[in-house]
Parts: sequence; structure tokens; C-alpha cells
Amino acid sequence: MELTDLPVYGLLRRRMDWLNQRQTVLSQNIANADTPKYKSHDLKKFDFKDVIREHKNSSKRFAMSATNASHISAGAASGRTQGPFKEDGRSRPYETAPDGNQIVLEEQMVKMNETQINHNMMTELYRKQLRMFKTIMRGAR
Amino acid sequence: MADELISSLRISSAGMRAQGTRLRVISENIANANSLPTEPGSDPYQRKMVTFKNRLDRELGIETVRVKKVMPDRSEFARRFDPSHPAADADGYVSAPNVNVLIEMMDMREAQRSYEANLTAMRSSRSMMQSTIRLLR
Repeated sequence: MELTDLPVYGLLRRRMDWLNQRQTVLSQNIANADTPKYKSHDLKKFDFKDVIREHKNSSKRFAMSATNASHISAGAASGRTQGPFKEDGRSRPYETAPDGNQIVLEEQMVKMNETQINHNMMTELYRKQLRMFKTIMRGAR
Repeated sequence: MADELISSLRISSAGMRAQGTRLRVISENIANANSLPTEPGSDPYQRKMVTFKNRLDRELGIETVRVKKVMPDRSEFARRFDPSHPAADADGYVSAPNVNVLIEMMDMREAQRSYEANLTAMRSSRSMMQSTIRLLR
């Protein structure tokens, strides 16, 4: 058994992937804080329930499979956000500037801080798990 | 994946570059706030403006920001009464640049604020990356 195949690690890794992708989306928002008509973007909320459901039904899921190296993956063609997680279509910005820009720096900063703190939490949890394994192994000596 | 974080660093740096260009144009405007014409009938310094645009970076597959165009401000020139000036017209007026230093100052503050926001985003991405790497220890 590979240690990193445990469901706990899988979940943590997926959550960290989500956080990384969200960080990219938020960076885009901040970089475009003065671009006219720029709409603010965000990812769909990460739900552990969805991940578990997906995990259970993974054999029944209908996904396009790439059988050839030159096949374009379905995710890459679908546009704005890259990566496996979907974008939240409903954008609810705090306000829209007269030039159509929806970015409020404070809002983006709050979201970014949230992302960073969650990411810290995930790495700490990961470390904690590893430490538990180490403790067990040390006990066996 | 660290890949996402690296692209977010690049997005932030693109934002900072765009704001840097904006600051350059603003300082050009302020420096030329008193650039009057040298002969009657010619135009003084015309204020410049920066516009931004969202651009897809095809190499990285991400959307960054960049300066779309630096274009002249078409608003009317100010007129200053100064009959002794070599560029004064028959009535004694000289046309002066359409630069308002107060507006430039405000614009500069805004550029600075956006620049700092990008910097903060960069710092936050970096600390996320570091905390991932620290797992190895």
C-alpha cells in the first residue's frame, strides 16, 4: 500500500489543488483591478461531500477518455479557468464601477487571505498525518 | 499543483508591470504640466492616458493584464493670459497643457494601490508555495 493513496491524503491533495486554482483566479482578478468591463471570477465552493460522492461513483462516471496522446482534454477546451475545478457562474461583486469593472480590491484580499489560511491548514493537517505515521513506526522499533 | 501558483505569480507580475507603465505615463504628465508651446498657434503638451486590457497568454494558458494603449487625452487645452510669452496669440493668451496635477496625483495613488495589491497577492502565493515545500522537512 502506498502511503499517499490513503483517502485522507487524496482529500487533502484535492482541497489543496482547489485552493491553488482559486489563488490563480484571484490573482487574475487583482491584476485586472483597473481593466474596464472586467468581470470578477471565482470558483465554485469546494464541498467535501461532492468529492466523496465522486469517489464512490468514480466507476460509473461518464467522462471523455483520451485514448491518444494528441487528444485534447475536455477541461482544457472549456475556456476561462484551467484546472479541474469549475467556475462559479454567478458573480456577486460588492459593486461595479462606472466603467464596468467589478473588482473590489478589499473583497479580493479577503478571499485571498481565506485561501491562504485554508492552504496553511491543509499543509498542517498533512504534516500531522505524517507525524502520526512516524509515531507508529517509531513505536515498532 | 505548484504550477497553478507559479502562473498566479506571473499574473501578479503582469499586473505590476501594467501599473508600472501607468506610473511612468503619469510622471510624464506631471513633468510636462508646464510645457507651453514656443510659437503662436502650436499646441502645448497633450495629456496622455493609459488603458488596460485583459489578454490571454497562450503560452501559459492564463489570462493576464497588459497596457492596451497609451492615448492622448482629447480634452481642451487650458488658456493662460500672458501677453509677454512668445507663443501668445493676438489677445495675449497662451494655450497650456490639459494636465491637472490633482487628477494626476489621484491617479498615481490608485496605481500605487493596485500595485501593492498585486504585490500582496504575490506574497500570499509565495507563502502558499513555501508551506507546501516545507512539508518535505
